[in-house]
Amino acid sequence: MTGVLELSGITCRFDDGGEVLTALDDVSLTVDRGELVAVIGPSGSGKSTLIHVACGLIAPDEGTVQVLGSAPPGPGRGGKAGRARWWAGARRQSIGVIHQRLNLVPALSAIENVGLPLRLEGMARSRALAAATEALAEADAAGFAGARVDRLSTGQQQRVALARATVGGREIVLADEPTAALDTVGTERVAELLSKLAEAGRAVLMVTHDSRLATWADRVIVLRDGRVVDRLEPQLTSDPAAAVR
Amino acid sequence: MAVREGLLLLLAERPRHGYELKTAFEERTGGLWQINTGQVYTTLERLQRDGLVEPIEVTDDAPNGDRRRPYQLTADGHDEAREWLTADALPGAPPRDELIMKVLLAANSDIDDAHTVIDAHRHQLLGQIHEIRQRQRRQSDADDLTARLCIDAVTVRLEADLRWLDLCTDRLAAAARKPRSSNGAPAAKPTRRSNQPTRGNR
Repeated sequence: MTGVLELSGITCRFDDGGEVLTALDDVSLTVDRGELVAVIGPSGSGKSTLIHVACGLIAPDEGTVQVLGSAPPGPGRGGKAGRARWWAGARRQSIGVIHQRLNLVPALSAIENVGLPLRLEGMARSRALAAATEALAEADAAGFAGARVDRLSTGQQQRVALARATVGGREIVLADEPTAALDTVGTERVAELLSKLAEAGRAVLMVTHDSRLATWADRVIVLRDGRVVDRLEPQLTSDPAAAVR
Repeated sequence: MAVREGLLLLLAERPRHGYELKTAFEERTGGLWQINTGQVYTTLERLQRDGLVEPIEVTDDAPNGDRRRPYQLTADGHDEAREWLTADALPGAPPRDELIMKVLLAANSDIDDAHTVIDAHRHQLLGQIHEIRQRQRRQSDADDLTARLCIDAVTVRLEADLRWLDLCTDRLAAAARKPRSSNGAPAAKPTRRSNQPTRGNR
C-alpha cells in the first residue's frame, strides 16, 4: 500500500550559529486517503520542519518525498528551479496547507479568501466562487461566507483557512498547529472537521504540541528532538458490536 | 463511594424497592457504577438504622404476590439527600494516583528514562481515548444525554492526564536546555557531580 503522501528517511540539518542542528532525523511516514495522521511533540521537536518538507518549502538533506506517487525532479534536471516549479504545481493541485498563522487576507470576505488560490491560477470568477462555496460548506463555514475575515472570530477564521486548503478538490491537507489559538470547544470543532475531511477521502496530516488533539487521529506519531519515538496505530475494530462492549 | 447517597436521591424521587433501586442507580449513572442487589439491601438497612429511610408496609394482597418491600425517605432522609448534592465533592488532595507517582519518580532520575515512561503512558492514554471516541461514533444513542455526559466525564479526565504528560515533556525538554537549573529540577545531562551534595554550593 502506497500513501498519497509519503516521506521516507527525511533528515534535515540547519546551521544554528555555527552549530549543526538536526531538526529531523530519519523520519518516515505515510498518509493515505481517508486518514487523519497526527504528529505530536513539544516545541522544537521538528514538527513545523516536517510540514514544510511535506509541502516542498524545505528540501530535506536526506530522504525523499512522494506526492500522489511521484517525486520532485532530482538535482541536475532543472535543479532548484525545476524542483520549485514541481512543488508549486503540487501545492496548487494536490496539497493544501493550513499555516499556524492563518495567512488570510483581512480585507477580503471569507469566500473571496477561499476562492483566491483558484483565481490566481486564472480560473473564472464564477467557477472559483462556486468551488469556494462548496469548500466553505464542507468546513462548516457557509454561514459567514460573505463576511470580511477580519470581522470573524478565530474559530471562524480557522474554518475559512481550512476551506481554502481544500478548495478545488485538493486531496492532501497539511495543518500546522491548527488549534493553537482556539479555546476548548473550538479545538474540538477543528479536530472534528479535520477528521471529517479524512472521512470524506482526503489525506490529512496535522502537527500539534497538544496530545489531546491526537485523540481524533487515526494514527499518531510522536516526535522528539527530530526523531520518531513512538507510533500509535489503534486497531480499527471491524466488528462494531465488539467496540460497544 | 457514594452509593448510600445515590440511593437516598433515588428514593427522594419516589419509593422504590431494592431491585428497582439497583437498576435505576446503574441506569442513571450511565453504567459507570455497577452495584449488586446485596449491597443495596445492606445499605438500606443502615439507612433505616440511621432513621433516613423506612419501609412501606405491604399488604398481603399485593399483585402477583409481590412481597418486596418498597422504601421511602423520612424527613431527615430528604434533608440529607438535598444537602449531599451540593456538598464538597473534591477528591482528596493531594492527588495520589499511580500515573503521577510513576512519572514523578522517573522524572527525578534520568531524563531519557523519564521520557520513556511518559511516552508509554501517553501511548496508553491516547489508545484509551481513541477507543472511546470510536465507540461513541458508532453508538446509536448519540442523543442519550446520560451516555453523552458519561463519555464527556471519562474523556475529559483522561485528557487532563494527557495534558499533564505534555507539560511534563515540555518541562523536561526545557530543563535539558539549561542544565544548571536549581532546586531539584532534573538536570539535563545528569552528571555524578550534580547529584552529590557539595559544600558551600558554588
